Amino acid sequence: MQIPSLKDFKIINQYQSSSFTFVNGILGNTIEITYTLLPASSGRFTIEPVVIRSAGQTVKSNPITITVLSSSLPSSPPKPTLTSPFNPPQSFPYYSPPYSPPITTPTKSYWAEQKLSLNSVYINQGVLLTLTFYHISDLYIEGSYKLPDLSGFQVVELPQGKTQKTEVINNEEYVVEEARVLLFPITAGEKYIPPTQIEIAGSPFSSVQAETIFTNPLKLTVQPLPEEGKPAQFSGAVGQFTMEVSSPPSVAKTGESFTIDAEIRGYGNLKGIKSPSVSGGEKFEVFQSTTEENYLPEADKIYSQKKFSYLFIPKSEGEISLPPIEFNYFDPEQKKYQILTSPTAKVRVLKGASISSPSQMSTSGNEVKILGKDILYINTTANIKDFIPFIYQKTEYELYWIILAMTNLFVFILNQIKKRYQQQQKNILQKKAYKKALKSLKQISKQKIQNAEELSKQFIQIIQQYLELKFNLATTCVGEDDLQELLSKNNISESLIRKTKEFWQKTEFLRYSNNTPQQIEKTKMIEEIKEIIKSLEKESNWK
Amino acid sequence: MKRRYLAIVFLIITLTIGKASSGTFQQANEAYKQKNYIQALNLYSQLINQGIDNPYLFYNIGNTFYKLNQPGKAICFYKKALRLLPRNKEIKQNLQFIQTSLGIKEQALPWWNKIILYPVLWLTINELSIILAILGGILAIWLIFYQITSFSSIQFKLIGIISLIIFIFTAIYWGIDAYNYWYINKGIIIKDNIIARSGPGEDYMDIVKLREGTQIIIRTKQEGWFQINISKGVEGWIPQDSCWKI
Repeated sequence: MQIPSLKDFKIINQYQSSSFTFVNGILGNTIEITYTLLPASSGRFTIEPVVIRSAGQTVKSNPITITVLSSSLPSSPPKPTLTSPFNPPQSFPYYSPPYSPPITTPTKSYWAEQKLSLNSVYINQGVLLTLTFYHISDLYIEGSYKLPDLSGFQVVELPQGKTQKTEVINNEEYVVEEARVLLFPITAGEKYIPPTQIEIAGSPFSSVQAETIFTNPLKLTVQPLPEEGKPAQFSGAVGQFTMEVSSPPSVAKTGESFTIDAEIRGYGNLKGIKSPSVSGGEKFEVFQSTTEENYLPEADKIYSQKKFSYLFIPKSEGEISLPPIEFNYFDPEQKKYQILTSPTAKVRVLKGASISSPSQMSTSGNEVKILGKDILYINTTANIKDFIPFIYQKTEYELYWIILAMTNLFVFILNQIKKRYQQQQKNILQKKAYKKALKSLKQISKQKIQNAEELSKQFIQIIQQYLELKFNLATTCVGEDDLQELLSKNNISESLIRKTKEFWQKTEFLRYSNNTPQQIEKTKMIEEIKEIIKSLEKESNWK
Repeated sequence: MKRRYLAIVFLIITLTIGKASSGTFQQANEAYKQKNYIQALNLYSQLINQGIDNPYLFYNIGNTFYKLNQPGKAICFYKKALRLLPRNKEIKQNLQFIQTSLGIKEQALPWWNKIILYPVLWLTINELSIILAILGGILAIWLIFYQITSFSSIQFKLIGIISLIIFIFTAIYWGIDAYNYWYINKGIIIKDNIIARSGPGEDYMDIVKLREGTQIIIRTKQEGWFQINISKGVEGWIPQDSCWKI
């Protein structure tokens, strides 16, 4: 970079700041060099373009033409009007500052004055200039001030600085209009503040004509900042400040960035103050990403706020201490330099996969070099009308559940009807079993049985039929061996089971006896079986 | 006859709207391609105004906002897209890219919470709805068989019990997802350095400064202010225009 010759100017202050920004995913680097210049003489000057050469290309800035007007001081001070009772005395500009006008003995109906809050300040220390315009309230006049040439100062107008009040002076009511501006001297030495011009508009309600009046001039001593104890990183901040640094994340990953903000607040001028430098060393790569500043002029001072954001990219793993952020300023009240340092903080750095630092954006083999990162491109293939965001809101989905529920309900009802029908059939058969058994026994008692085998067979058949119908058995093969299981299963008492089995055995025995059964014996057996069936009927129904 | 005409008219209108939507989407994509991001955004907005809920549309809008240097709004639209497509890598990658560039790190859920909520975090509400429908179908068929046949084997009973358990769990997850979608108002801070105050007004005390892209939960609305939950136990009020609902 080639800076043009600035021979017509004196360089008061120079500083450089750089910042990195992510705009549209592209990492950009901005270097800003600020010069504060003081013209050596009046005239028209041209500052030649700045030339930058990079990668075989040359870029030029635009030239700047400046017209420097001749200063009227101290050889030709403005001619004060006779309307002001505070015309500068002939010994001008060597007043004893601050100048205090004799407001208790006004001789005119309107006049103006100006004064400084301090007689002696340091470079870049704010000093309050108060302009006051007095006029008798009955005159109904208005004055507008025009600041004089204040080269050598940074001027900040205070919005809340304009006030209006009434004051009684020598039994006369005066309107007192005040305006305040903050001045930040750029260079050291004895400074002359020329008279401020007040334009008075004439009033149709009084005899006052439009005219221009001037305040008194002032003198200010600006001391250079002391060299003793001046920190190497000092960038010109003068005032009282505090610094707040945001906490880093407890865990970070190599190659993945995190941000730390350092916010400096306080009373004083932070304009043009460069960011506190932070060195990442071997553990971190540090970029200054953004800077934000706010200035809130108050009634008699300026509250400045400047935030510097730093992008930290860890380079190695482990428990790593963050480099401290240091900010230096000169405290004019303490008359010494102060250093604000961020508290020590540690970050646990884990191994990360992504690459976000430009210096790390190449693979180990150097076959592929990543030049930048951006978001992925938009989706152009999607058919946006085909996507159903909420399938459960569709009628088909609701219908599906209704069909499922209805089918189940239908099957349930059908099953209940079937079960009821089967139960009814069972009940009919159960009732039929007893009646059929009694009927069969009646028939046997009437029949003339020739042999015992035939009688036994018929008795067993009656029991079998009864059990089959009573207990709804599908097969007709109930034997003596099945009796115990079948009757127990249907909760028939053990005594009755035993009785039934004894009768069965007796009948079986009769079959193989080869005797012709006697009538008495047959009747007895019929009574016995009748008794058993009755008991079975009773117990099965009861249970 | 009248009914048939009505059906044809309805079909034509539906097809026309569908075709017009696709056309606008392509036009917007073309404008994006030409780097005419304002025009692209206007065209995408037309589709949003038509009531189209599409994750790819949200994704493209997110990209457009990013190109217009409005990362907070971009994050908001990526989050909208992720609610409908939670496993989409493109959306995740772009969201992470912007969050990293803004220095935003979202609070990670505890591991046990991640395991419990895995189906909600990993599956879409549509997928949960389909799983629920399939399980519902299996259970319905099982019930029909159970009623009309005398199947009583352990395997048969096991199928029924397992299906019922999975069905209940899926229904719970579906409920959580639906509740999250419709009843939890999440928002994204769309301006940088928003001050959350202790009440709905500029004169209330500053509580916390919020960065652009930070996710918050909106609780109530009052006179142009949102009452929000920032993190565990931290609440505040922010101007309504400083936040967009996801």
